[in-house]
Amino acid sequence: MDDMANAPRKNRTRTRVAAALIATAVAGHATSARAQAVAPPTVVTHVDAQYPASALASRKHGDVTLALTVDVDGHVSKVEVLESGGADLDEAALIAARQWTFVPAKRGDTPLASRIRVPFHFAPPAAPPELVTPGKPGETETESDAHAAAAAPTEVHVTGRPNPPSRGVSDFRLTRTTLTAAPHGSGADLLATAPGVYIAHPEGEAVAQRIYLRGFDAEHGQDVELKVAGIPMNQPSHIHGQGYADLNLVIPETVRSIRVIEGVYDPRQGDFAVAGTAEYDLGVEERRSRVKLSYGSFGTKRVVAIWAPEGQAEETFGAANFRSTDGFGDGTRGGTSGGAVGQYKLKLPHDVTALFHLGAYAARSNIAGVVRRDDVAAGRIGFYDAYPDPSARAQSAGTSRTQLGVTLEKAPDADGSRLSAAAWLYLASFRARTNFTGYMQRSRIEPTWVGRGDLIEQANDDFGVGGSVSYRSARMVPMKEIGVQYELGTEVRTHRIAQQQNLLQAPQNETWDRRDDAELKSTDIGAFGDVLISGSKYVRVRGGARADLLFFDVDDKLGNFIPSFSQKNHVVGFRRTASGAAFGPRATVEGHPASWLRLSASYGQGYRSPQARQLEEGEQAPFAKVQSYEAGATLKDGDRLSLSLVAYQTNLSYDLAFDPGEGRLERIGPTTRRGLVGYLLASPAEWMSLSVSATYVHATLDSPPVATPENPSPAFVSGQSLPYVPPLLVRSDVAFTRSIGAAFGKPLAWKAGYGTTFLSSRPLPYGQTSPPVFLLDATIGVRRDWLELSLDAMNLLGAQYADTEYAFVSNWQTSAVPSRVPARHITAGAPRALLASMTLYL
Amino acid sequence: MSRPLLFTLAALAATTVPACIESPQDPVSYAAVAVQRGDGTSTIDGWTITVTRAEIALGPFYFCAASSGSSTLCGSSVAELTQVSVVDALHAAPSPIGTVRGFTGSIQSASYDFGISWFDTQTVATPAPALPAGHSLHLEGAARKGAQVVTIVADVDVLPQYQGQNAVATAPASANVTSGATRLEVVLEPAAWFRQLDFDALAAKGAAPIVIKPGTDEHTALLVGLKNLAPPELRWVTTP
Repeated sequence: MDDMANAPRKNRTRTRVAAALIATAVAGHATSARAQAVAPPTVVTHVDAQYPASALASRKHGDVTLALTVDVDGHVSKVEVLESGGADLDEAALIAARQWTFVPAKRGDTPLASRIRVPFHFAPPAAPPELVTPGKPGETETESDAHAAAAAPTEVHVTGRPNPPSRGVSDFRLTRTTLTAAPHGSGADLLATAPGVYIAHPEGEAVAQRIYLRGFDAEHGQDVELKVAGIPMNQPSHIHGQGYADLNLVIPETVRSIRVIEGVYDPRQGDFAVAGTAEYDLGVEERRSRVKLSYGSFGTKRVVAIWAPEGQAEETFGAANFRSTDGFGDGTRGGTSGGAVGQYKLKLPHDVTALFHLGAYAARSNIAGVVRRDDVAAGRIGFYDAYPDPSARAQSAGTSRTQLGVTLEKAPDADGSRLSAAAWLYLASFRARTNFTGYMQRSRIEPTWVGRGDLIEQANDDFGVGGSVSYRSARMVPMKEIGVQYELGTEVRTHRIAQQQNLLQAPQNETWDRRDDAELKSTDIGAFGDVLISGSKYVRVRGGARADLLFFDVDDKLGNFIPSFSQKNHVVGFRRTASGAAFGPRATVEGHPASWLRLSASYGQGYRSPQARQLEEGEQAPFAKVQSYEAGATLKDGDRLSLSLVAYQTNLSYDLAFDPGEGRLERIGPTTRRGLVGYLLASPAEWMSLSVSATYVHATLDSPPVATPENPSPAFVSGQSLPYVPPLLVRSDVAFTRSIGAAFGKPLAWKAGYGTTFLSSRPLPYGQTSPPVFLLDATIGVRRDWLELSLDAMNLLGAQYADTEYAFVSNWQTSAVPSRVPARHITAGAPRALLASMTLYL
Repeated sequence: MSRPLLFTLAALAATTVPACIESPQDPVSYAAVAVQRGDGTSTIDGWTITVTRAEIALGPFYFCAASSGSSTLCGSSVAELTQVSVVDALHAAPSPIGTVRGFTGSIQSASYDFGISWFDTQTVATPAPALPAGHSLHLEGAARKGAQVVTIVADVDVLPQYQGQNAVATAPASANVTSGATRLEVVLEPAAWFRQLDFDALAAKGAAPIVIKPGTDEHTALLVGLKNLAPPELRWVTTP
């Protein structure tokens, strides 16, 4: 690929094309921005079209006009032939155009996707192919042989998708450039590119990922509101953890961008938005169907098929994904999984668009579980192994989720108003058998039963349905330079959940204790109001409030349990209802003192709903309330560099922590996090982009842990560090893409990239710390037209690290006398793994 | 160097400031010893008891933050001594019985075994390998009242009552361990373990040495003496 400035200019007709804007505003943009003109995309790099050999005999001249869709990253995401010059000339033009890159179209400083017409003229070698590049608006032709078509104003049709207004410095938009720099094994792993995020997979691919976000150990999603294509992923009152959200449904190749709000500053953020919110936007930019075949370490096989027809919106695609692996270690991490996601965007009359979404995922995998560090150190078990005990070897999980959603949106009117409505439903099942503690449990039904293995079986079936309606007003101008716009919306969701927890005895998995058996009904009715006030071009205020009413109906079939040694004087069971309301204001003040500097300060209150089964009759549902504060700045140096710095604090009224004995989350008390985040986005060269973030956090427990009969006065010191949270997390993603000429008449391009993750030493309970972790993932690939070959390396340096680490009591019978003192346990992080892939573009 | 780049470097430098990690409990380990109380003699109902041999198995010990140390209320211990040692309870000097490992903090109870344990995963109570004869306690001694002499040889098994429980399910203990400059002393008083024996009845059996074995009333009496009347005292002392 040649730089525009250095490109050979001979035999090329250069035409500066006058651009005429026919686009209207992009939904979601501030109205003030909408009034600004759209600057069309300008070429950064181009590839000359090669005169096809097949046309040499006829030495024909020809014209081809293409419509290129240039995405917000400046890449060509779609090419359509508007005027054909014949199959061979069309093909040559298409190949060349797909390799062009641009400075994207912009409205103000906001990049937009755009659609431009590009005519090509072909002449035989004596007069090499001509091409026309779009340039600055208003420039005229400089050479006489320009084509009439090129001289005509070029259509620039802005097709940018809604880009909600920023809610502060910690409102990050992860574009595909960043998301694809390093290899990612799952949709959840893409989140790791966001500042302050670390993703772990301690329980395999049939159990949701574990998320650390800016000082929060969000477990399986308890503290992060997660949405995919607008559908909530968090499952309330899940038996394995409140807010459990399995992102394995997401096929990484179909993620167009992720918006991550770290903090609670947007009135649209609802339940579980404690540490923040992550919204996955699905779409396939390159409109070519493809099949990707992968094979790699540990017998990993993966097939991905994507259908993305040209002429359709990026949101319209179909994708299927199947994967199987033997897993690393001694054969206890094997699993199979598969999923499919399909979307169809449809234009309806009256400027209404509809987006239909269907997603499904199912997986089953074995789980290796934890190993004690002292057993590893003594050589009693390998770092990557599982205990040979039948109860350890019986760990597994199986899950499935099917979801359906539809979004209707009335296209933005010229006045900026918008009406949207969405509805969704999902059916999710979960069954896991995990043993963290070995042989510690005693049956509650038959107290003399003990030592049969702590294989906890958890089952959760959830049927959820919900929807939302929102209306955004037109922009009002009550006085000069004061613009006001408001949005009102409501969101509802209701769930029917059945859940059980039992103890099983391996290997026959006989039930030897029953811990929970409940049917839950929960309903969340939320409403929000949001106002944007733009005082001038220097100051903006965004904010509003949100209120939610939650209702719970619990049929606890094992409630009021009667131990076997007590006289039976009632029937087991405890049915109860509870409700509660949460309210939270959110606001962001933003200033633009200079074109290169944006300052902002944000405040917000959010909440997390309680686990329904833990509620008492009539209890005012005790929401966990969070208060978020932050102040920061974003500095921009043109399009090449953006640096964000932010200081933040969050106060949580009560936190949850993993209880290995029960295999689920339990309360620990109020917590505070204070920290700093630095986030750098840069493009030092046109063929290189990088994203670097560093997040520092000091997370503390603010009051003594909840007293228990076992520990009536838990030890506590002021400023006690919150366990498992890494104080420093540094992440970098670097991508390189470049053309390297041609092979067999077709252009050849290579790409490479890597991602690094550094976790500082993590505090553990009882004054212990885990060692720091440094991971390097890298990818390299080459593409020639319809064929792409790539090699991904995960943990390239072969670091031996603990994906997660815990401290608790266990008895795995590795010593003659069992210990009852809490010991360090780990789940091993994956060793070096290679994955070779071949992608065929159809 | 551009201004934004300088800001970048400054920001990254700032974020590398190490975190201050505060913890309410720290790992700790310290020695444990068995200490004899008395000189091995005592007087019970006019009988003068002289213990000539007292080998006792001690351990494992579990120390709990809760006031009850039973396994159902103390699944997680503050500290423990998992070693099983056989000591001469008549030894004048403190006898090492292992190392206590755990964490700093308050201790309010203990549970322990006398070398015979019935752990969760064991189908029957099982003596530790350290027990040469498989018994918790081997006692030899004589009781004298005037011209009467009763010679006693006893093998005592202190068994846990239920699977998953210690032989002594809960015992008083009180300590606030703040550092490793601590020593656990298990105080033993062998002569007092005979208190529940009916020496007059034993004397009536004849002059031959009385051999006390598990399952007899005398064995039960010795169990009461060891577990209830004169159980080992647990005390933590600060060491220089």
